[in-house]
Amino acid sequence: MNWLKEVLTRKRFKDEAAEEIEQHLLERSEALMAEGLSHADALSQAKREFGNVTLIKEQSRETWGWPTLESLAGDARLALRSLRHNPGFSLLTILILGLGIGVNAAIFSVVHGVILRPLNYRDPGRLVSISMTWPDGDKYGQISGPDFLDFSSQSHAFESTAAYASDVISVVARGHSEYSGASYISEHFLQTLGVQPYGGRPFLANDFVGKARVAIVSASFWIRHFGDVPFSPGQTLKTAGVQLQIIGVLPSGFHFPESSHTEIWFPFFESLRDVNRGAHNYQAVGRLKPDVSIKQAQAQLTAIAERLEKSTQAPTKVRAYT
Amino acid sequence: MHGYALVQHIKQQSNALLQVQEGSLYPTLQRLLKANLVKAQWQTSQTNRRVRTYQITAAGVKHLDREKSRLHRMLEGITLVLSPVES
Repeated sequence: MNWLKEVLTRKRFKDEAAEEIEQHLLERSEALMAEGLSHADALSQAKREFGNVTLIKEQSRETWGWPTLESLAGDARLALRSLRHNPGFSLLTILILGLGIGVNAAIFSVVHGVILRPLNYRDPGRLVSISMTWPDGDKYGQISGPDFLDFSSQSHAFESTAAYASDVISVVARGHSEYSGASYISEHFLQTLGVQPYGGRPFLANDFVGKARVAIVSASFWIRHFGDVPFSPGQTLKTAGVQLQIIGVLPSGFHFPESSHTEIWFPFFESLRDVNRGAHNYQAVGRLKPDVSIKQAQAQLTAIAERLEKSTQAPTKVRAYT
Repeated sequence: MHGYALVQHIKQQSNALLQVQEGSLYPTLQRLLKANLVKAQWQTSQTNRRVRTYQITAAGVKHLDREKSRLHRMLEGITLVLSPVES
Protein backbone atom coordinates (compact mmCIF):
# COMPACT_ATOMS: atom_id res chain seq x y z
CA MET A 1 0.00 0.00 0.00
CA ASN A 2 2.97 2.33 -0.54
CA TRP A 3 1.12 4.15 -3.28
CA LEU A 4 -1.77 4.95 -0.92
CA LYS A 5 0.63 6.24 1.68
CA GLU A 6 2.34 8.39 -0.93
CA VAL A 7 -0.96 9.78 -2.18
CA LEU A 8 -2.05 10.71 1.34
CA THR A 9 1.34 12.19 2.23
CA ARG A 10 1.38 14.27 -0.92
CA LYS A 11 -2.07 15.63 -0.20
CA ARG A 12 -1.03 16.57 3.34
CA PHE A 13 2.12 18.33 2.14
CA LYS A 14 0.13 20.23 -0.45
CA ASP A 15 -2.37 21.49 2.14
CA GLU A 16 0.43 22.43 4.51
CA ALA A 17 2.24 24.44 1.85
CA ALA A 18 -0.92 26.50 1.28
CA GLU A 19 -1.49 27.02 5.01
CA GLU A 20 2.09 28.08 5.49
CA ILE A 21 1.76 30.83 2.91
CA GLU A 22 -1.42 32.11 4.58
CA GLN A 23 0.44 32.25 7.89
CA HIS A 24 3.27 34.16 6.24
CA LEU A 25 0.88 36.79 4.89
CA LEU A 26 -0.77 37.19 8.28
CA GLU A 27 2.57 37.57 10.01
CA ARG A 28 3.77 40.14 7.50
CA SER A 29 0.52 42.13 7.67
CA GLU A 30 0.70 42.19 11.47
CA ALA A 31 4.23 43.56 11.23
CA LEU A 32 2.99 46.27 8.87
CA MET A 33 0.07 47.07 11.18
CA ALA A 34 2.63 47.49 13.96
CA GLU A 35 4.25 50.13 11.75
CA GLY A 36 0.91 51.99 11.63
CA LEU A 37 -0.94 50.67 8.61
CA SER A 38 -4.62 49.77 8.80
CA HIS A 39 -5.57 46.10 8.70
CA ALA A 40 -6.82 46.28 5.11
CA ASP A 41 -3.79 48.25 3.88
CA ALA A 42 -1.38 45.97 5.71
CA LEU A 43 -2.90 42.82 4.23
CA SER A 44 -2.96 44.41 0.80
CA GLN A 45 0.72 45.43 1.00
CA ALA A 46 1.73 42.02 2.36
CA LYS A 47 0.12 40.40 -0.65
CA ARG A 48 1.75 42.87 -3.03
CA GLU A 49 5.17 42.16 -1.56
CA PHE A 50 4.58 38.45 -1.71
CA GLY A 51 3.60 38.37 -5.37
CA ASN A 52 0.93 36.28 -7.04
CA VAL A 53 -0.33 34.29 -4.05
CA THR A 54 -2.44 31.85 -6.05
CA LEU A 55 0.39 31.12 -8.48
CA ILE A 56 2.96 30.63 -5.70
CA LYS A 57 0.60 28.34 -3.80
CA GLU A 58 0.16 26.39 -7.00
CA GLN A 59 3.92 26.18 -7.58
CA SER A 60 4.45 24.98 -4.00
CA ARG A 61 1.71 22.38 -4.36
CA GLU A 62 3.07 21.21 -7.69
CA THR A 63 6.22 20.02 -5.95
CA TRP A 64 4.09 17.34 -4.35
CA GLY A 65 1.87 16.45 -7.24
CA TRP A 66 1.83 14.98 -10.68
CA PRO A 67 1.41 18.27 -12.56
CA THR A 68 0.70 16.80 -16.01
CA LEU A 69 -1.86 14.34 -14.71
CA GLU A 70 -3.56 16.89 -12.51
CA SER A 71 -3.57 19.47 -15.27
CA LEU A 72 -5.16 16.90 -17.57
CA ALA A 73 -7.82 16.07 -14.99
CA GLY A 74 -8.45 19.79 -14.47
CA ASP A 75 -8.83 20.32 -18.21
CA ALA A 76 -11.24 17.40 -18.41
CA ARG A 77 -13.35 18.79 -15.53
CA LEU A 78 -13.44 22.22 -17.16
CA ALA A 79 -14.39 20.72 -20.52
CA LEU A 80 -17.23 18.71 -18.99
CA ARG A 81 -18.57 21.76 -17.14
CA SER A 82 -18.46 23.83 -20.35
CA LEU A 83 -20.20 21.12 -22.32
CA ARG A 84 -22.98 20.86 -19.72
CA HIS A 85 -23.57 24.60 -19.66
CA ASN A 86 -23.73 24.97 -23.47
CA PRO A 87 -25.63 21.98 -24.86
CA GLY A 88 -25.99 23.54 -28.34
CA PHE A 89 -22.28 24.19 -28.61
CA SER A 90 -21.59 20.72 -27.20
CA LEU A 91 -23.74 19.11 -29.87
CA LEU A 92 -22.01 21.10 -32.60
CA THR A 93 -18.59 20.15 -31.22
CA ILE A 94 -19.52 16.49 -31.04
CA LEU A 95 -20.84 16.60 -34.62
CA ILE A 96 -17.68 18.28 -35.91
CA LEU A 97 -15.48 15.84 -34.02
CA GLY A 98 -17.57 12.92 -35.27
CA LEU A 99 -17.31 14.18 -38.83
CA GLY A 100 -13.55 14.72 -38.45
CA ILE A 101 -13.02 11.24 -37.04
CA GLY A 102 -15.23 9.77 -39.76
CA VAL A 103 -13.30 11.51 -42.51
CA ASN A 104 -10.01 10.37 -40.99
CA ALA A 105 -11.27 6.80 -40.76
CA ALA A 106 -12.38 6.96 -44.40
CA ILE A 107 -9.02 8.33 -45.53
CA PHE A 108 -7.20 5.68 -43.53
CA SER A 109 -9.37 3.01 -45.15
CA VAL A 110 -8.28 4.29 -48.57
CA VAL A 111 -4.62 4.49 -47.53
CA HIS A 112 -4.83 1.02 -46.03
CA GLY A 113 -6.46 -0.33 -49.17
CA VAL A 114 -4.09 1.34 -51.61
CA ILE A 115 -0.76 1.51 -49.79
CA LEU A 116 -0.62 -0.69 -46.70
CA ARG A 117 -2.55 -3.74 -47.84
CA PRO A 118 -0.33 -6.71 -48.68
CA LEU A 119 -0.36 -8.16 -52.17
CA ASN A 120 -3.75 -9.54 -52.97
CA TYR A 121 -2.44 -12.96 -53.93
CA ARG A 122 -2.09 -16.20 -52.06
CA ASP A 123 1.43 -16.69 -50.61
CA PRO A 124 2.97 -13.82 -52.64
CA GLY A 125 6.50 -14.70 -51.48
CA ARG A 126 6.54 -17.68 -53.87
CA LEU A 127 5.55 -15.71 -56.92
CA VAL A 128 8.33 -14.92 -59.37
CA SER A 129 8.45 -12.94 -62.55
CA ILE A 130 10.14 -14.70 -65.48
CA SER A 131 11.81 -12.55 -68.10
CA MET A 132 14.49 -12.72 -70.75
CA THR A 133 17.92 -11.19 -70.45
CA TRP A 134 19.56 -9.88 -73.56
CA PRO A 135 22.97 -11.36 -74.33
CA ASP A 136 24.64 -7.97 -74.67
CA GLY A 137 23.96 -6.81 -71.14
CA ASP A 138 21.84 -6.95 -68.06
CA LYS A 139 18.73 -5.56 -69.66
CA TYR A 140 15.79 -7.86 -69.42
CA GLY A 141 12.38 -7.77 -70.90
CA GLN A 142 9.46 -9.72 -72.20
CA ILE A 143 9.38 -13.33 -73.23
CA SER A 144 8.17 -14.98 -76.43
CA GLY A 145 5.27 -17.46 -76.56
CA PRO A 146 7.29 -20.53 -77.59
CA ASP A 147 10.00 -19.78 -75.03
CA PHE A 148 7.39 -19.45 -72.29
CA LEU A 149 5.84 -22.80 -73.22
CA ASP A 150 9.24 -24.50 -73.28
CA PHE A 151 10.27 -23.08 -69.92
CA SER A 152 6.96 -24.10 -68.42
CA SER A 153 7.02 -27.65 -69.75
CA GLN A 154 10.72 -28.36 -69.12
CA SER A 155 11.16 -26.78 -65.67
CA HIS A 156 10.12 -28.61 -62.51
CA ALA A 157 10.56 -25.58 -60.26
CA PHE A 158 7.05 -24.23 -60.61
CA GLU A 159 3.64 -25.33 -59.44
CA SER A 160 2.26 -23.37 -62.34
CA THR A 161 3.22 -20.59 -64.73
CA ALA A 162 1.28 -18.03 -66.70
CA ALA A 163 1.93 -15.60 -69.52
CA TYR A 164 0.07 -12.38 -70.05
CA ALA A 165 0.09 -9.26 -72.19
CA SER A 166 -1.40 -5.97 -71.10
CA ASP A 167 -3.09 -3.29 -73.11
CA VAL A 168 -5.56 -0.48 -72.80
CA ILE A 169 -8.63 -1.20 -74.87
CA SER A 170 -11.88 0.52 -75.69
CA VAL A 171 -14.75 -1.47 -74.31
CA VAL A 172 -18.53 -1.15 -74.30
CA ALA A 173 -20.63 -2.58 -71.51
CA ARG A 174 -24.33 -1.94 -71.07
CA GLY A 175 -24.21 0.89 -73.57
CA HIS A 176 -21.36 2.73 -71.89
CA SER A 177 -17.97 2.86 -73.54
CA GLU A 178 -14.66 3.49 -71.84
CA TYR A 179 -10.97 2.74 -72.01
CA SER A 180 -9.97 -0.02 -69.61
CA GLY A 181 -6.78 -1.79 -68.66
CA ALA A 182 -6.99 -5.31 -70.05
CA SER A 183 -4.79 -8.39 -69.96
CA TYR A 184 -4.71 -11.32 -72.34
CA ILE A 185 -3.78 -14.29 -70.23
CA SER A 186 -2.77 -17.91 -70.52
CA GLU A 187 -4.75 -20.74 -69.00
CA HIS A 188 -3.21 -20.93 -65.52
CA PHE A 189 -3.00 -17.22 -64.83
CA LEU A 190 -5.52 -17.08 -61.95
CA GLN A 191 -4.29 -20.36 -60.51
CA THR A 192 -0.67 -19.11 -60.53
CA LEU A 193 -1.59 -15.88 -58.74
CA GLY A 194 -3.82 -17.81 -56.34
CA VAL A 195 -6.96 -15.82 -56.94
CA GLN A 196 -10.47 -17.06 -57.59
CA PRO A 197 -13.53 -15.21 -58.85
CA TYR A 198 -15.84 -14.43 -55.95
CA GLY A 199 -18.72 -14.48 -58.36
CA GLY A 200 -19.05 -16.69 -61.43
CA ARG A 201 -16.41 -19.18 -62.52
CA PRO A 202 -12.71 -19.18 -63.42
CA PHE A 203 -11.46 -19.79 -66.94
CA LEU A 204 -11.57 -23.41 -68.06
CA ALA A 205 -9.32 -25.14 -70.59
CA ASN A 206 -12.11 -24.99 -73.14
CA ASP A 207 -12.17 -21.18 -72.96
CA PHE A 208 -8.70 -21.13 -74.51
CA VAL A 209 -9.69 -23.13 -77.56
CA GLY A 210 -10.67 -21.22 -80.68
CA LYS A 211 -11.78 -17.61 -80.67
CA ALA A 212 -12.19 -15.72 -77.44
CA ARG A 213 -15.75 -15.75 -76.18
CA VAL A 214 -15.48 -14.97 -72.48
CA ALA A 215 -13.97 -12.42 -70.07
CA ILE A 216 -13.55 -11.95 -66.34
CA VAL A 217 -13.78 -8.44 -64.91
CA SER A 218 -12.67 -6.66 -61.77
CA ALA A 219 -15.08 -5.90 -58.95
CA SER A 220 -14.82 -2.16 -59.69
CA PHE A 221 -15.63 -2.72 -63.39
CA TRP A 222 -18.65 -4.82 -62.44
CA ILE A 223 -19.99 -2.23 -59.97
CA ARG A 224 -19.36 0.63 -62.41
CA HIS A 225 -21.35 -0.97 -65.21
CA PHE A 226 -23.83 -3.28 -63.57
CA GLY A 227 -24.28 -1.77 -60.10
CA ASP A 228 -23.34 -2.98 -56.65
CA VAL A 229 -25.14 -6.27 -57.10
CA PRO A 230 -23.93 -9.85 -56.92
CA PHE A 231 -22.56 -11.41 -60.09
CA SER A 232 -25.16 -12.85 -62.40
CA PRO A 233 -24.41 -14.62 -65.68
CA GLY A 234 -25.62 -13.20 -68.95
CA GLN A 235 -23.84 -9.84 -68.95
CA THR A 236 -21.57 -9.06 -71.87
CA LEU A 237 -18.95 -6.59 -72.95
CA LYS A 238 -17.83 -5.72 -76.44
CA THR A 239 -14.31 -4.88 -77.61
CA ALA A 240 -12.84 -4.66 -81.12
CA GLY A 241 -16.21 -5.71 -82.48
CA VAL A 242 -16.22 -8.95 -80.51
CA GLN A 243 -18.91 -9.66 -77.93
CA LEU A 244 -17.68 -11.54 -74.86
CA GLN A 245 -19.64 -13.17 -72.07
CA ILE A 246 -18.62 -12.04 -68.59
CA ILE A 247 -18.19 -15.28 -66.70
CA GLY A 248 -16.80 -14.03 -63.39
CA VAL A 249 -15.80 -11.15 -61.16
CA LEU A 250 -12.48 -11.09 -59.31
CA PRO A 251 -12.19 -9.98 -55.67
CA SER A 252 -12.18 -6.29 -54.89
CA GLY A 253 -8.74 -4.71 -55.20
CA PHE A 254 -7.29 -7.31 -57.59
CA HIS A 255 -5.89 -5.54 -60.66
CA PHE A 256 -2.82 -7.59 -61.68
CA PRO A 257 -0.83 -6.41 -63.52
CA GLU A 258 -1.31 -3.28 -61.47
CA SER A 259 0.91 -1.12 -63.69
CA SER A 260 -1.97 -0.88 -66.17
CA HIS A 261 -4.71 -1.14 -63.51
CA THR A 262 -6.19 -4.15 -65.25
CA GLU A 263 -9.95 -4.50 -65.09
CA ILE A 264 -10.64 -7.09 -67.77
CA TRP A 265 -8.97 -10.45 -68.40
CA PHE A 266 -9.39 -12.44 -71.61
CA PRO A 267 -7.96 -15.74 -72.79
CA PHE A 268 -5.23 -15.26 -75.37
CA PHE A 269 -6.72 -14.85 -78.82
CA GLU A 270 -3.76 -16.69 -80.33
CA SER A 271 -1.84 -19.86 -79.61
CA LEU A 272 1.44 -19.10 -77.85
CA ARG A 273 3.05 -21.95 -79.78
CA ASP A 274 2.24 -20.49 -83.18
CA VAL A 275 3.86 -17.10 -82.68
CA ASN A 276 7.45 -16.30 -83.62
CA ARG A 277 10.08 -17.25 -81.03
CA GLY A 278 11.73 -13.92 -81.62
CA ALA A 279 8.56 -11.97 -80.81
CA HIS A 280 9.02 -11.08 -77.16
CA ASN A 281 5.51 -9.87 -76.59
CA TYR A 282 4.56 -11.43 -73.27
CA GLN A 283 5.26 -11.20 -69.60
CA ALA A 284 5.34 -14.29 -67.43
CA VAL A 285 4.84 -15.17 -63.82
CA GLY A 286 5.43 -18.43 -61.98
CA ARG A 287 4.57 -19.87 -58.60
CA LEU A 288 7.53 -21.73 -57.08
CA LYS A 289 6.95 -25.16 -55.58
CA PRO A 290 7.23 -25.03 -51.76
CA ASP A 291 10.60 -26.82 -51.66
CA VAL A 292 12.23 -24.90 -54.50
CA SER A 293 14.29 -21.76 -53.95
CA ILE A 294 14.53 -18.96 -56.44
CA LYS A 295 18.20 -19.86 -57.02
CA GLN A 296 17.25 -23.41 -57.96
CA ALA A 297 14.54 -22.08 -60.28
CA GLN A 298 17.05 -19.71 -61.85
CA ALA A 299 19.53 -22.55 -62.41
CA GLN A 300 16.89 -24.71 -64.10
CA LEU A 301 15.73 -21.88 -66.35
CA THR A 302 19.30 -21.01 -67.30
CA ALA A 303 20.00 -24.63 -68.27
CA ILE A 304 16.81 -24.77 -70.33
CA ALA A 305 17.68 -21.44 -71.97
CA GLU A 306 21.11 -22.74 -72.99
CA ARG A 307 19.59 -25.84 -74.54
CA LEU A 308 17.01 -23.76 -76.39
CA GLU A 309 19.66 -21.39 -77.63
CA LYS A 310 21.59 -24.26 -79.19
CA SER A 311 18.58 -25.93 -80.69
CA THR A 312 16.80 -22.83 -81.97
CA GLN A 313 19.68 -20.43 -82.66
CA ALA A 314 17.70 -17.77 -80.80
CA PRO A 315 19.23 -15.87 -77.88
CA THR A 316 17.30 -17.04 -74.85
CA LYS A 317 19.00 -16.07 -71.64
CA VAL A 318 16.46 -15.96 -68.90
CA ARG A 319 16.08 -14.49 -65.45
CA ALA A 320 13.64 -15.19 -62.67
CA TYR A 321 13.10 -12.64 -59.93
CA THR A 322 10.52 -12.01 -57.27
CA MET B 1 13.30 28.71 11.65
CA HIS B 2 10.06 29.27 9.76
CA GLY B 3 9.62 30.89 6.35
CA TYR B 4 8.86 34.45 7.39
CA ALA B 5 11.69 34.42 9.97
CA LEU B 6 14.02 33.06 7.30
CA VAL B 7 13.28 36.01 5.02
CA GLN B 8 13.94 38.45 7.86
CA HIS B 9 17.10 36.62 8.94
CA ILE B 10 18.64 36.72 5.48
CA LYS B 11 17.79 40.39 5.10
CA GLN B 12 19.32 41.32 8.44
CA GLN B 13 22.41 39.13 8.17
CA SER B 14 23.25 40.56 4.76
CA ASN B 15 22.64 44.16 5.81
CA ALA B 16 19.70 44.15 3.44
CA LEU B 17 21.99 43.38 0.49
CA LEU B 18 20.16 40.12 -0.08
CA GLN B 19 16.42 40.16 -0.15
CA VAL B 20 14.72 36.86 -0.72
CA GLN B 21 11.75 37.04 -2.99
CA GLU B 22 9.02 35.70 -0.74
CA GLY B 23 7.24 34.27 -3.73
CA SER B 24 10.18 32.06 -4.64
CA LEU B 25 10.95 31.03 -1.05
CA TYR B 26 8.06 28.64 -0.48
CA PRO B 27 8.31 26.64 -3.70
CA THR B 28 12.07 26.33 -2.98
CA LEU B 29 11.43 25.12 0.57
CA GLN B 30 9.00 22.52 -0.77
CA ARG B 31 11.64 21.24 -3.20
CA LEU B 32 14.26 21.03 -0.43
CA LEU B 33 11.74 19.20 1.74
CA LYS B 34 10.93 16.75 -1.00
CA ALA B 35 14.66 16.12 -1.58
CA ASN B 36 15.11 15.44 2.19
CA LEU B 37 17.64 18.28 2.46
CA VAL B 38 15.54 19.89 5.17
CA LYS B 39 12.89 18.58 7.53
CA ALA B 40 9.84 20.47 8.73
CA GLN B 41 7.57 20.45 11.73
CA TRP B 42 4.70 22.59 12.93
CA GLN B 43 5.37 24.54 16.09
CA THR B 44 3.98 27.51 17.98
CA SER B 45 6.00 30.67 17.53
CA GLN B 46 6.93 33.24 20.17
CA THR B 47 3.96 35.30 19.00
CA ASN B 48 1.75 32.29 19.67
CA ARG B 49 1.28 31.55 15.99
CA ARG B 50 1.21 28.11 14.39
CA VAL B 51 4.26 28.07 12.14
CA ARG B 52 6.13 25.49 10.19
CA THR B 53 9.79 25.44 11.05
CA TYR B 54 12.56 23.98 8.95
CA GLN B 55 15.75 22.29 10.03
CA ILE B 56 18.61 21.20 7.81
CA THR B 57 19.25 17.45 7.64
CA ALA B 58 22.59 15.63 7.46
CA ALA B 59 22.08 15.23 3.71
CA GLY B 60 21.29 18.93 3.58
CA VAL B 61 24.56 19.80 5.33
CA LYS B 62 26.55 17.76 2.81
CA HIS B 63 24.70 19.35 -0.06
CA LEU B 64 25.28 22.81 1.40
CA ASP B 65 29.03 22.12 1.68
CA ARG B 66 29.16 21.11 -1.96
CA GLU B 67 27.25 24.20 -3.00
CA LYS B 68 29.45 26.46 -0.89
CA SER B 69 32.53 24.93 -2.45
CA ARG B 70 31.12 25.53 -5.94
CA LEU B 71 30.29 29.10 -5.04
CA HIS B 72 33.83 29.72 -3.74
CA ARG B 73 35.34 28.30 -6.92
CA MET B 74 33.08 30.47 -9.01
CA LEU B 75 33.97 33.58 -6.99
CA GLU B 76 37.64 32.71 -7.30
CA GLY B 77 37.24 32.46 -11.05
CA ILE B 78 35.42 35.75 -11.24
CA THR B 79 38.08 37.42 -9.11
CA LEU B 80 40.86 36.12 -11.37
CA VAL B 81 39.09 37.34 -14.46
CA LEU B 82 38.51 40.76 -13.01
CA SER B 83 42.05 41.13 -11.60
CA PRO B 84 44.38 43.42 -13.57
CA VAL B 85 46.65 41.48 -15.92
CA GLU B 86 50.34 41.66 -15.03
CA SER B 87 52.33 42.86 -18.02
